[in-house]
Amino acid sequence: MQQTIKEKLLLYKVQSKKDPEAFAQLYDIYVGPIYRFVFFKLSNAEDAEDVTSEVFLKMWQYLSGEAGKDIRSFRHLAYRVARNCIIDRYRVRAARRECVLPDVSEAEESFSDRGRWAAELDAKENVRRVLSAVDKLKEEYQEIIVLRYIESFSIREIAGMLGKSQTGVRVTLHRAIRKLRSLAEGTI
Amino acid sequence: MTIIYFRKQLKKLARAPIEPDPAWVAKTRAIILEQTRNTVATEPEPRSFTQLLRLLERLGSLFLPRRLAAAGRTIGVFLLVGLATVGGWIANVSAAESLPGDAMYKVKIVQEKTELLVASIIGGEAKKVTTLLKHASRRVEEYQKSHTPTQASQAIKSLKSSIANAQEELESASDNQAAVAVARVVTEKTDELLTSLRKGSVQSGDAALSASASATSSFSTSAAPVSATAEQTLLQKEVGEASHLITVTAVNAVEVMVEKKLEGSTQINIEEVKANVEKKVDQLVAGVSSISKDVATASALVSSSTSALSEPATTTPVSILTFSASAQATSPAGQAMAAGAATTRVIKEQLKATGEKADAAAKAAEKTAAEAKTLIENNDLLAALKKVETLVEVKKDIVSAVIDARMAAGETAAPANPAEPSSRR
Repeated sequence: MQQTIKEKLLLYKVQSKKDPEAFAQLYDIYVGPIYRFVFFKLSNAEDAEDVTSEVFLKMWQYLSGEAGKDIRSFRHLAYRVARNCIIDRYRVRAARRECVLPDVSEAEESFSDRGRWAAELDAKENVRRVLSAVDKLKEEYQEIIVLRYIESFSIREIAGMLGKSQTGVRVTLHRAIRKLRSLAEGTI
Repeated sequence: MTIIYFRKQLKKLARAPIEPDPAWVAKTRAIILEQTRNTVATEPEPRSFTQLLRLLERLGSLFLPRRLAAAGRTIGVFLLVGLATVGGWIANVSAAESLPGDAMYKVKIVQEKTELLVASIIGGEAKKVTTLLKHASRRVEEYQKSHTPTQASQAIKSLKSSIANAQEELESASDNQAAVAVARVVTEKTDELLTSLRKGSVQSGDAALSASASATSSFSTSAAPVSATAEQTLLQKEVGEASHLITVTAVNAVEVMVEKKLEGSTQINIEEVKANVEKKVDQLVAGVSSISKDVATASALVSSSTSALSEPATTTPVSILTFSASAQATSPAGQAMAAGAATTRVIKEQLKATGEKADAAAKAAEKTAAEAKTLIENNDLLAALKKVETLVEVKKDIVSAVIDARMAAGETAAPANPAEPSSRR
């Protein structure tokens, strides 16, 4: 609750006073989560850094303009802009005819390097299976699973971000988990 | 592996230490600060409300006698409190019975939100969910009392939202004790909700869709025939979705009980868990069986009214189906009857196909239920839950099939309770 009030104050300062320091403080709060969200989608640290920088610069341009005065949540805007930047990056990759396979091993490296986290899991084999399955999901399912379980957005927030109804999000999430289960169990 | 297991694994991925390089973070911060500073221009600050209030206070102290100015704030506060109390009491009384779209309905919703906030602060998670489901129950009452399909639809949409919020509370319960308490509340209240939702359909006389309530008779005669049919059938679809959502939430609550028990929680005993799983199985099977019987009844009624084709078109259930299915209700009776015969055949075939699906679903449900009960007896609750999930899907599929058949046939009222044809023209 305190963080939300602080964020709202910072957002107010950015929108009304175009305060660069306030924006920098919001950057400090969100750079980690946005980076992680982008990394899960692009599976490449260099691309994730580029896109994350782009996200914050675009957000500043938007918030300091007239249209930005209607924004109520920095967090929602950040993820929406991040999604759009990721889509642009996919288009660039397609234009260059890059074939980027989901980099499960790079994500796993991060996991395995952090002994504390790996020790909390049931078994690394299960992590590998779940991650592989997530990467095989179609874009829509992947996104909703990342937003819900990894970024911990509520159904309402996801619905607002994706422009869907809450029931629609819930149905898609349910289907995504079932698909994930069938992929992980090897029964497609 | 159950869906619960996957959710847990995904939540563990959330703790993955994927962090950006600190050097890159600092460098990017500096770049952003530099770029943002370059774009800043000075603008006059607009006066804030607090500043306005302070200005008024100063003006009051300048123009009013000192004692009155000093008492001004106190008097103002008492006046505001008094107005708020009286106004609040009046609003409360008129808001309670309001329906979606009424002037006082927003007041009712604001009151509920306040109630929910207080419950979550003072009462904890179980109290919050109890309040959420109490509000859901009010939405069902609003649906039953609605005067128009639009009102009913709005009530159902709000119902779905309340159930979705309850589902979220169930998934995000903070500890075992809270999770079990919330699951118990959800299990109990969702049963009541489904019973109430079903009552709406019985009152409307819709025997063909007992699991998804239909339009009430209060607005079946007021609208134009073709549009009322489409609107009311869409409403049935929404009610079916709401019913499914409530069922899924109830099953999730049972899943939480099983999960917590398997994790070794002492908040719940194994017998209670088994009883809840078995109850869910029985309810789902009964639901599917009921739909199957209702479709069979509808089929029988349509078949028995085939001989009434020679009677005036305005008095038979078959003619109602044909009028509601045809776009031009003012065509001559002879042409309508000729067109009606063909349409009736199509409707009969659709009902027959749906009836066959319903029968197959009922048989599959009974088989699955028997398997589930065996698993429950053997204490294999996770496998039993998979069977429950299967039953939920079977029920959902058959309800959808019935609604689709209805939409295709263009019905509005149940064959057992035909509305006046003149009101449908």
